[in-house]
Amino acid sequence: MTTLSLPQLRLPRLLGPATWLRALLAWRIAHTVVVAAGLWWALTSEALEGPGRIAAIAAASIILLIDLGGVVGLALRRSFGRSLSLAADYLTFLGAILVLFQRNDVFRGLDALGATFIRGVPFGLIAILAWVVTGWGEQQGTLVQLRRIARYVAWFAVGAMLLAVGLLPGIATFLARTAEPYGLGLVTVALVSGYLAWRTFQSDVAEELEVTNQTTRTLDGLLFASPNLLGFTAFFAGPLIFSLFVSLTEWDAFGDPEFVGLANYAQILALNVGIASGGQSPSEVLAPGYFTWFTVGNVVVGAQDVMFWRSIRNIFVFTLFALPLSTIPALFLATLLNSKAPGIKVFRAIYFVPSIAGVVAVALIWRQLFDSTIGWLNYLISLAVSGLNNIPGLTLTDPRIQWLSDADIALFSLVIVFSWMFIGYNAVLFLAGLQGVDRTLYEAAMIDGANRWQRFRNITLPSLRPTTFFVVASTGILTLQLFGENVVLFPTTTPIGAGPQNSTLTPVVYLYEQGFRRFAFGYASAVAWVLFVLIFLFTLVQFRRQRAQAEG
Amino acid sequence: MRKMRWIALLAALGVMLAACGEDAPDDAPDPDVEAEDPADDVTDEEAVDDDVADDGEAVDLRWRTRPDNQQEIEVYQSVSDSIDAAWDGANLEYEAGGTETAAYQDVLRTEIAGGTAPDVFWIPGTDIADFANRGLILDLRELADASGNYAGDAAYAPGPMELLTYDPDTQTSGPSLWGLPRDVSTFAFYLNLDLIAEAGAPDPRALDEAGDWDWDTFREVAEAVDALGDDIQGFGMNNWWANPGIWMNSAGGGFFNEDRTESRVGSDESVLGLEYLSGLYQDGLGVPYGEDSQPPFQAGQVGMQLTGRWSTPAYRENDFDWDVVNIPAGPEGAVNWTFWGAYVVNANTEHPEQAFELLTRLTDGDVQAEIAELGANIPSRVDDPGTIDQFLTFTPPENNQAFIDGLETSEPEGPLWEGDWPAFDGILAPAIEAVIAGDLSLDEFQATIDDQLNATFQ
Repeated sequence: MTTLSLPQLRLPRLLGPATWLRALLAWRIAHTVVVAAGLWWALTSEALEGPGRIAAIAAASIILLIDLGGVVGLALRRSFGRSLSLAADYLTFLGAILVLFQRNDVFRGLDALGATFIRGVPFGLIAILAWVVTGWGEQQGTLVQLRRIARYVAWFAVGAMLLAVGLLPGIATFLARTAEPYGLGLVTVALVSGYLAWRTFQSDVAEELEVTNQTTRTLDGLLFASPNLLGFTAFFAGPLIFSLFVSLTEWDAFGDPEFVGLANYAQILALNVGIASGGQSPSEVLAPGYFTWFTVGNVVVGAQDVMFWRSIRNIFVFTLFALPLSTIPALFLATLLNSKAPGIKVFRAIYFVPSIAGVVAVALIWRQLFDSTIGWLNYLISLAVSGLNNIPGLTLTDPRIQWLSDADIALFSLVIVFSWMFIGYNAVLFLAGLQGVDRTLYEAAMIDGANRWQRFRNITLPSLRPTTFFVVASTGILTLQLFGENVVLFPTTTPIGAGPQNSTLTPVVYLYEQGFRRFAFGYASAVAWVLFVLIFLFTLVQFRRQRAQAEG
Repeated sequence: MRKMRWIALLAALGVMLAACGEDAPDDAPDPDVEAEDPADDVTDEEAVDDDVADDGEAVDLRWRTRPDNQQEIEVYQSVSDSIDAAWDGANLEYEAGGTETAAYQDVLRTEIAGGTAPDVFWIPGTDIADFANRGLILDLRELADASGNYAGDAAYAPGPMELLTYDPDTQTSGPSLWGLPRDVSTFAFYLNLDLIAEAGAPDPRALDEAGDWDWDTFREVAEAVDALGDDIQGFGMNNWWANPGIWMNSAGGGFFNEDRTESRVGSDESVLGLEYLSGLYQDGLGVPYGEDSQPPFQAGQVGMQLTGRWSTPAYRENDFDWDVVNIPAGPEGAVNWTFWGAYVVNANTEHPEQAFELLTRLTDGDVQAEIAELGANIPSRVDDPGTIDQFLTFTPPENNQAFIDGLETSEPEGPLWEGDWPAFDGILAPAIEAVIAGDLSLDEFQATIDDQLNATFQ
């Protein structure tokens, strides 16, 4: 097996393993001192602020801890010292390259590459075609000359594509920017760290520390998975932890966050109940700082953040309707699609299309359909009413439903759109489940005289429990995260997506409003974490039910 | 297979390095555009101005607007190319921002937080205070005083300039300068003259000319058109703050007190405006409040639609006879809005002097006239009467004077220096929706709204 991995590179081994470990310890100590100085600077300097400062402190802290562990391990000549030293140098190597790319505007340039990329597309297509010809020729086992020509054409086309998208000026610019002192410094750090990591990884160093095979395999695995692990940490786990930290602060995304503890959560969740008597208005019976959420008789329920609780109420009502409407019809649709009727595959594809269409496109189309004055839905209803009114003795009034502007209806318009989008997808999932049901069970039931409904009730449904669990859990999570449909269907309401009188305000719409419109990122993060807990609880309940059914 | 991997790796690295390339040939100004560019005349004066950076080298400046359509993007690109060609001090890169519904401001804020926002950008007037208070844009007063290109505060529309020169520390207008207005706009009723004629209603333009265009005659015209059929609506308007606002303004009310530190929505005058408006809706004369009234108007099913000058380019495609008229007069006259947005300078720009000079060039009267010819807006420069005369020739609509009349008696929109405008709007909008839908009585609205809104000033 051939790989492009670091261990196979042939570089000179400058020192023997014992000497190398002593030198590595000295390097590790120096590295620790430099990182500690960097951390101190990040903590005290006014040059850094906001997320950049937090990211710098977090990165420096992690590398410092790894460094310290590495120093201790190497001093004690323990294998974990080598592992941690490897990690520190590897991260330094990657960090130096990323900072170099950032300094040289490579990432910003990638954004702009779209303008020139199109020029390379024809050559790219030629290269792909040439590779296809090469592969086809190899399959045939003949046409050696043609394969050789195709291979040359492929190489030539790749080169031409790179030239067409601007490789030469790109390299020139990159080198010119790298040739500055800062760039050369970063290149030096990258080369030194990379060599250190490579040399430390070699087997003679491992043997010197009596590293076990298990540790070697673990390191190999981690190195192999490191691109994904680092990406996951940088783009998912890191922001997740960061948002948890932000939720404990008051922060507008520009300056330094101000730590406020659990105050955001307290404000979001605070409720107050009062009893109105003797002509008191609802607001008079609530504690200061609370606003009326709803009243039942003379009982007044207030909240500090009424908008949040309204969004919770909306999302529960939405889930209550959207979840069954996008799963139960899907189950029946799947039983229909499970037949062997002619052209059934076409129908399966048609029903699946809405789920692969973009939310924005779907919602835009539905917005036009829902228009109460010129929309197709009301037009068809008007036609139907006119037709029915031709029946003698029947007089119906055209309802002219305000699908998007009536606060009592808007949420159900969203239910329709959501269900329409996901019925097909869920039907395909159920279809996969149905095709896994043992046919002999049906045959046995038919011999026993079970009718179609009895077979469905006693064989199909129990057999589909794992599929049903997945469909309900995944669709339920999607309903609780409703956002895109609202924003497109109700683009002019305030907040955007909140619908008439906030009737379609959902938690994600609310946190978007708080974060990106009101600059309250601390509060928005707290809303996000409350929503996370709700979704977690919902999923947990589904798992418990699934387990109980499986055991029962 | 090994070769394939190397090819793939080289291609990926090559593409990444190509991303560093500068001055791609496509970035060069299109010679065809330049040849027929009306801004060539504009830049005669600028052409002799060869200001360069202190070190003698041109600086790179990125700037952005929020265009509404492809035509606007092309005109702004052309303007950028013209200025770039005539100005040795900067290399300009124009970025067309997303539309309003594509979250232009949200993207901009995110980019500012990430440090990747352009040097100069446009923001709506309502956002100026928020951006300034958070330190995201520069106070340009010192740069303006030192600049030889700045035409002076008085050269621009006075309403927006009063708000753009507000100093939150001294709470007076004049000491600061947060940006320069790109253009202004105002509301008018766009008329479907075919429907109005079919209904036998009087022509609102004639009523306006005779001084009889008021709430009563507006209602008469709306009723007459609405009676044409179930699928025809007398009038339409969208549900954002400005639309109900003009009825409050024209009744003598408004959103804020004089120094914009308290709500005036609960005043008798404001409620009177809201009462009139909700009456129109509850009598079924309008496109349901909350629905987009533009598609039914363009479909020829609405008699009168309240919208701004920005709708003109789209309506030039209408296949019915149409024109515009100023808003009808209420008890206190026809009090319109002056909508405006401003070019501002990113507080983190590395080239503040050049960025400010770009502002002066972008708001040059001739450049504004070139953009206004598209029909979407009105020039904000008032120092040359010829600019407005030129605007009046940009037809259709024939009655462009309606917009100029609207400007003369209007309130400039936001910003709210002493309060939280998004919070204010977030409370007011659903409350107005509830009143118009009949879910909240006017008495209850009046009793509670000011307390809720005043909390946003704290």
